[in-house]
Amino acid sequence: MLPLWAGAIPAGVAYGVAARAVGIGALDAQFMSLTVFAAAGQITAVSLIGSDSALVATFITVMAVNAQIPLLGIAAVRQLHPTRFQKLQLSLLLTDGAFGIAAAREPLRHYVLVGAGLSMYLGWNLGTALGLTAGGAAGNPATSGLDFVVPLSFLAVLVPLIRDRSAVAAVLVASLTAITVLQIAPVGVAVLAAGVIGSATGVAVSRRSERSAA
Amino acid sequence: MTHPLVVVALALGTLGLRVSGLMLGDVRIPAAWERAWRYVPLALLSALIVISLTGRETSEVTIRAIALVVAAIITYKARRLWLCIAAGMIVYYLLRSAT
Repeated sequence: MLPLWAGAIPAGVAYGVAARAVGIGALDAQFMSLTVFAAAGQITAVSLIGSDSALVATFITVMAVNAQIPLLGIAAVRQLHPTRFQKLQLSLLLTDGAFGIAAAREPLRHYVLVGAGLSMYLGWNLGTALGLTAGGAAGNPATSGLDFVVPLSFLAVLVPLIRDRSAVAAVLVASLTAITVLQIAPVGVAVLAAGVIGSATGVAVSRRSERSAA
Repeated sequence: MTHPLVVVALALGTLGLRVSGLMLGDVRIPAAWERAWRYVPLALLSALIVISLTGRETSEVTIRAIALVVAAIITYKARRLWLCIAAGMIVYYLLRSAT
């Protein structure tokens, strides 16, 4: 189980450092890792709380960033046909990282998935504690530049998702939309607008390239 | 300042997402929806990265943008989360100390 720990700890450290960099209390940040347990979503929350976004916009954006979680659940149920008790375990521990590792070895097994999830949970929380300690010791984040961990964490999640032209189009259009909308609206609105328009662009481009390939 | 209530709301919301997928497991979702869903995190993360650059001095934006591009290339080749963050921070601090 050591490799799984190794994967979750750096992500947890980045989150912990990022949380301290935007001034979130250590207890709040650790509490979030213990209860939310979703890397990209939590770093998004940290970023938006740091930019003083409206709470509703923060909530909606974090849920949208976590949008792949239901898809993982659907995939897990189709392959595993879990009992109700097994579903309960997965409802606490299912993450994309754990699913990716467990699904790498066919066929997918429930105990492997739960084991991977549990291992990730421990690594994520340990990493958070380490990051909070390190981030707290580093002094003023605005001058130390430690807040740069936030966009780098997003980038680390984003890059592996870019697999084709439609994804590149979605990234470009979302970025442009965000910058444009930000001129007239708060951060939360700009992010959500970029989410809607960027995803629509991704779908449109993937349909077009499918049609031209057919 | 964080409200503990925000954390509770995020925890319940995320739990809701996990449970909904597990409950929906046997239901067929239209392929078009599933496809659109895949682009949502992609678009949101791009927006968050770009927005993180705004409201800073031009020299700082330039340094950060260069560091992001280098980190993106390294991540694309190596696919390691920690490497992306480490490489980005190193490039960032090198450029900062050089200017």
